Order: sequence, then C-alpha cells, then structure tokens
Amino acid sequence: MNSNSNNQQNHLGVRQQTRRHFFGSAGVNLGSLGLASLLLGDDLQAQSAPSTSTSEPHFTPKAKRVIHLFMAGGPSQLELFDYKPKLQEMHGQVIPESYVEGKNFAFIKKDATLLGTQRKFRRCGQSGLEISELLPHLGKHADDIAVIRSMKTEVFNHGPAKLFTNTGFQRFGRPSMGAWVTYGIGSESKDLPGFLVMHSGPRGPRGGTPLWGSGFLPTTYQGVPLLNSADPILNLSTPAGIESQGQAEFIDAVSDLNNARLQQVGDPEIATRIATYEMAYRMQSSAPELMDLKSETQETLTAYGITDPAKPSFARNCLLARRLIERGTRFVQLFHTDWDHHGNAGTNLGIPLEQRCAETDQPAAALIQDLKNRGMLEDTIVMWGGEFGRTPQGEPREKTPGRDHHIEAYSMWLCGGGIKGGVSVGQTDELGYYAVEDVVPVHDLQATVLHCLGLDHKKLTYRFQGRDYRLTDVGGNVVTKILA
Amino acid sequence: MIVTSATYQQTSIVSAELITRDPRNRLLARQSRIRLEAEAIRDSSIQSAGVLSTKIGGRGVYPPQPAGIYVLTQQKKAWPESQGNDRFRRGMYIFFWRSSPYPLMPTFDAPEASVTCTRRSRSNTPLQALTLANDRSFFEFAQLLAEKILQSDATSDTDRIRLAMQRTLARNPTPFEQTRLQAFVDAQKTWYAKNPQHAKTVAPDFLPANWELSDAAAWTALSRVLLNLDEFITRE
Repeated sequence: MNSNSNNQQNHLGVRQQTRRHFFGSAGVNLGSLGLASLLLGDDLQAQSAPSTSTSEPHFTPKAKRVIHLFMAGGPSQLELFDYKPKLQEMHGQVIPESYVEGKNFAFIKKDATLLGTQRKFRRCGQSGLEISELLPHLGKHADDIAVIRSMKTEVFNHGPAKLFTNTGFQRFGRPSMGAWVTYGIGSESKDLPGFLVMHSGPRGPRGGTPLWGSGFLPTTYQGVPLLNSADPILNLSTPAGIESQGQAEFIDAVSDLNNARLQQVGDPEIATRIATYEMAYRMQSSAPELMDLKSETQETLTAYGITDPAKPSFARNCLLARRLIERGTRFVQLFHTDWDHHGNAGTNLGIPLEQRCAETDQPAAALIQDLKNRGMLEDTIVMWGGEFGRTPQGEPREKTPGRDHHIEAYSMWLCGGGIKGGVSVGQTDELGYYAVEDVVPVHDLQATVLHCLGLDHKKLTYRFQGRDYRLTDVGGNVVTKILA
Repeated sequence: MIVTSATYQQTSIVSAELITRDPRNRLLARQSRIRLEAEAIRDSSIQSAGVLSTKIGGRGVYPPQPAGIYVLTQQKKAWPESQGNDRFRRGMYIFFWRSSPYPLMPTFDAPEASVTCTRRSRSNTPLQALTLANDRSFFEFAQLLAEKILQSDATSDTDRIRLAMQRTLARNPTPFEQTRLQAFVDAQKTWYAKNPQHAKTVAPDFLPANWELSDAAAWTALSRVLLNLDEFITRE
C-alpha cells in the first residue's frame, strides 16, 4: 500500500470500525456471518487495515491484559511504601525552605511542619522490599511485585490529576489508557466489552466518565461501567413485559430484515449492525452470568475477603476482575475512592487510612495469588496506585494526622506480565519530598504498560484535528528496570 | 447546489464490484450511507411515533434515563425526569452533564462538550443495540408508534404493516418484509394471548375500544423491530 492511501486512511476511523468488527478485534464474533466476509473479500480487508493502529501488537507481548486498581484520592506513600528515617527525626520541624521555594500546594503553606509516620515498616519476602504494616497481605507478595517509589506527576488537583494518569493529559478529551489498549490490540472477549470499569467506595471518582472515555477514538473503545445495580450494564435488561423468547424473536426479526437490506444495498456496515445485535443478545446472558458468584468456591470468596457475595465491595470487584479477564476482557479498571487523607475527621491517616487498607489489601493480594494459581499472572499486569501522593509535611486540619496532595514523589506497584518481581525502582530524597533517582513521570509508566502489551507508545497513534496523538503525548520512556 | 446535483442524488445501493474497487466511495460513484447522529436517532424515533415537540429554545430537558448513571461520578446529579411534551423534545435540548452525559449521547458518538469536535465518528457497537432495543425511552416510542397504528384507518394487518413501514422508513415493505413482519406479529399475538399480564405492560396506554390487549402488545413489539432497523437509523 502506498503512503498516500495510508494517510487517507488515518482519517477514516469509521471504516476502521467496519473492518475491526469483521475480524473480531472489537470483540464481535462473526463466526456466523459468512456473508460479511464474502462481501468484504481479501482485497478489501487489506485496504481497510488501519495504518495507525493494529489489532496485532507491534512486537511480541509479555502481557495480554491489564487490571488497574486505581486508588482514588492519592494514597500516602509515606505511610505505605516510602519509609524515611530522616523524616521521623525531623518530625515537627518546619520543612527547610530549600524544598518549598517557589512551590504551591493545594492547601498547606510553606511553613507547614514535617510529619513523621506513625506506621511501622517491615522488610518483606526474600527481596526485602520495605512495605508498611498496613499492607500485611501485600507483604506476602513482595517477591511478586515491583514498587516504583519515584513516581512524579504534574497536577495536584484530583480531577485533572486523575485525567492525567488515565489519559496522559490533564484536561478532558483524550482517550483513556484502556481505550488506547483496546484500540491497539482489540479484545479477546466475544460476549463482553473489551474494557470494563468498576467502582467501590463512598462516591465515584472525581472526573467521571472521561477517565475511561474514548476521547476522539471511536466509542467502541470506551470503558463500559459494570454497575452494582440490577442491570450490571446499562439497558441490559429487556423492557418489562418482554421475556427471553420475545427478545429472541425480536433479534431474529431485526436480523432478518437487516440482512435483506444488506443483500439489497451491499453496505458492510449493516453486517456489523447485525453482529452487534447478536453480541448484545449474548451480553444479556453473559453479563448476569459474570456477576453471579455462585460458581466460586467458599475458599475463593474467603481468600478475597468477600463476606456477602451480593454486596458491592472492592473485594467483590477484584474477583469480578479475574472473572472478566478469564472471559477475554482486555482492560479492567477498579476505582476505589476515599484515599484523600488531609487530616479531617473521617479523612485522615489514622483510622480512615487503616480502613482503606483493610478494604483493599487482602483482595488485591488475593487477586495476585488467584491469578498465579490459574497461570494467568504471567500474562496479566496488575497495577496499583492513585493520581498523586501526599506531602512529607503534615496538614493537621483537626487533631488527626493528615497530609496534602503531593506531585513530586509517590509510589505505585505493578506485577505480573513482563514485570520483574521483588524489585523497587527509584528513590526519593531523605525527607521523601522529591523523587531523585530513576524518576518515573506518568507518561513513562504508561509507556511501560503499553510496552508489556507489545505496543510501542510512539507508534500507537491516532490522527485527530490534523495531527497524530498518542497516550504519552510528547513524553514517555519505558522503565526498563522493572521489566522482567 | 450540492444536494441538487446528480452526484448527490445517486442511490446508495452498491454492487460488490464497486465496493471492492472503491470501498470508501472516494470516487462518488454512489451516495454514501451515513448512520444518523445520536440526537437525530432519538428525534427520528419520536417523529415516527408522531409526538415530536417542535418547541424551539428554552431550558434543557430530562427525558427518562436508566438507573445507575451516577454511580461512578463524584456527586449524584439531579435528573428531575421531564413529563409531558418535554419528554419528546429534540435531542439537542437534553441537559448535558459533562461528567456523565445522557447515556444515549456518548453511546452514539456525540462528542464530549469540553473539547472541540472536527468530526463525529460513527461507531457501530453492541451498546448501541442494547440502547435501541431496551432503553425505557425507546420502548416508550415503540408503544406510541403502536398507538398510532392502532388508531389509524387501516383495516388489515397488511395495511398496518405498510403504515408502520411508511412511518419509520418512508417506504412500502417488500414482499419479503411484509411476510416476515406478518409472521412476527402473529407469533407475538399468540404469545401475548397466553400472557395477558405481559400484554398489559407492553400494549400502548391508549387503546381504541375494539382492541385486545394481546393484539395491541404485538404491534408494540413490531414497532420496536422497525425502530431498531439499520435502515431506520441510517441516512440512505
């Protein structure tokens, strides 16, 4: 194909849809649609192949799928992963001016005093990773995970920071990581969407749907919220008074008439439409089946810490995440809210932090173990972290300890497909204020995840408004130190 | 000038040879079929049902939306469901929350309100199928369309099917379509006759006196089929 036709096709996301649906990369099974392939023919398949994305990875991937455990609010790295003896020593002193010269904070002032942690840290596993006592279950998996202690982001307010972490840009409008990934390598699920989003905690994350939106990519790639309500997916249930037989007859009639139209006008888009109705129909049984945990053993439920399988919780979402990837879903994102521990009653580093850890530690660790037992950890990335970290300075709004938003340094962990276990990458200075060694900006993290999936972040582009866009914007370096 | 040109007025019917030679219609040897925009899909359904409000301007409206929209937003938004004619305003008047738009909109590629939009993409997804097939609003449109069919002068099923086709696709059914739709409506009549409770739920609210609920419900089911056809949501 010559470069001219390549360029033209960059603008034709619509037609790319047709082709993607045909070859199942968007999750639509066309096994029964011989007619569609006949109509397309090999020539058209070649011509329709989008030049800017691929349903094949750019190189051999180590991972096939991602489970992103998003801890919304900004978990405190200084209580969980980044122990700083010097900070303990200087507890109560005003932070040296050299650190905060010219800096702005969301709430605290320059004269805020340093806050040593009240949490104990332990060396865990053979690797001796230092992990807080608040995460005892994760501690048992120290040799499985890679901790990045030198994460760095650009914005200190929740909404923009979440957008930045998820879409690589701090304002609305860009595709999210899950959308880029399903755009790049499609999905293996025939009965469920390729990118699903779940939520637990007292409220939804700041930022809302753009966090898992498809931005300027076709909406096929947007994350689909999996809800805890009677309809786990919007409009999944048939209208009142229509039973399964009626729905089947409805789908058949729609398909027959669409098919007649297809034969008459020959537009392959109609074949895709027929396939989407078939998949919608399958989703009506596959989604309730997914949500029904009856087939899980008591042992599994106990391991995740699920006391009531019908009750929404982070633990239940972790188990659902495993069930989703077993069914071929490419990208699963779990938002757990309320990590914004400023120091108010209910949002501080005392009991509220302990509660957040108790809600998430055991399920996340159980997920790692469960994936390991099923041989799925080796090609699944599990990623844990928030939109930023918290300051070494305290923010004593009331009598309870708290910290302000911090963008200069925070911690995350990853494990699974393509990630080295039992390592830590990066260091912060002696107060934990700046990341000083192997700094990992958000775009580097994104580049690394894409790399594990076999995608070159510089090649995964989409042309919009006259230029090529990518998840990592104009940044991004693969963090080779955490690669297995 | 463009719309009156011979090129624009071509049919969108395409031969296998032509679609192979020019899949993207760059040579304009035919008209392109274009799926309607989100708002227009809803407007068309309402228009087919004969209840589209032509009111211009005014405050945003809140047509029914599925439960669970605000589970994943920071705050639960107010959605005071509109009543009366405000349910049938054009889609462009639907109130737009940026963090959680009316779900029909993003599902059918309406852009986010926070960025410039140089073109809308036109995807073709299972979530669109779920929306048209199951969404409460669209089901209400199907019931209203059925109401129009039942209240018409048509005296036979053949005429009713023809009327329904004209209201939705602006053409008469082919012999195949006539037969297929008759078979469908017959099957529904039989089923609803055995399930009167369901028939009551599905039938339009305002029935002419001589109608059985089960027959009326079958026409809602038929209307629902037509409102879900690819042709219905496509500018041919």
